[in-house]
Amino acid sequence: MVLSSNQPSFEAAVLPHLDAAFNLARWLMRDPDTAQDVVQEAVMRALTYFPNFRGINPRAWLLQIVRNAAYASMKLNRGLRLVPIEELANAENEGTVVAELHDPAGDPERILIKERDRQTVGRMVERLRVELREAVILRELEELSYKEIAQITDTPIGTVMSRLWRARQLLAASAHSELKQA
Amino acid sequence: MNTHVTCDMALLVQADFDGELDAAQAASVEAHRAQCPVCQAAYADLQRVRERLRSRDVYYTAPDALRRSITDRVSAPSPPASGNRSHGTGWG
Repeated sequence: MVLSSNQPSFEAAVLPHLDAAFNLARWLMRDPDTAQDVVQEAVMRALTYFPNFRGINPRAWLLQIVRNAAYASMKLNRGLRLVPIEELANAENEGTVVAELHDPAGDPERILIKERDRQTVGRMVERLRVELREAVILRELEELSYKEIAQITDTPIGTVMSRLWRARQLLAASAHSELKQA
Repeated sequence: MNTHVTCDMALLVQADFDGELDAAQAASVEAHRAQCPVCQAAYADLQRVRERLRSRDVYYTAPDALRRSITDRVSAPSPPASGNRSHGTGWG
């Protein structure tokens, strides 16, 4: 691969953003295994596209490819992956055992409460339509600008703003109803 | 954020919350918010939702096995097969 002198290497451009790539794929796919497949596929695509990459915003560039790979995978699997609600609830437990084992300082009750909170917020986000989910993940977890989110999701900025608003309304509303139930 | 009552300024209040406005726009939106109970409630909800999402450890980091597998693949001495490169997304 011939690189111009001001072009970062593929490794330098992409490897620092693997967490962001996996986080987005994981939230889009709602499943740890397919999320890993999506990231693998996206990195291979990124390798192919890299000669055309102008090196300004590698994280957003990679996330755009991850998002496209995730949508392609969802399209491919449409109809095959109608996951029952109970399975989604179980899938959320993935990763939690590890977190507990690696936290020797926390007392079990606090860990449990923290975990329950995390699962509740996670469930609320997972219930959002995918367009709303990706907007809120990119804004709140990746802290990207409206312009970057618009580019990654191939959507006008106005639509990004209204999706974000809708997603946040729904999250706020379900937090309120949860408080009432508690 | 009451789902039934919204103000016409809602998306601007959100843009202010997200730091997307310049100083003059932000000042005018904040002046509106000071007078508008609907926008005050909306802003408080935006803060609550953010606090929940950012403080609850809902970020999924890449599993070690995935990181290793990708690092091994991209660090392999032979470059990937060329061809099909014209479809690349060029923005950065």
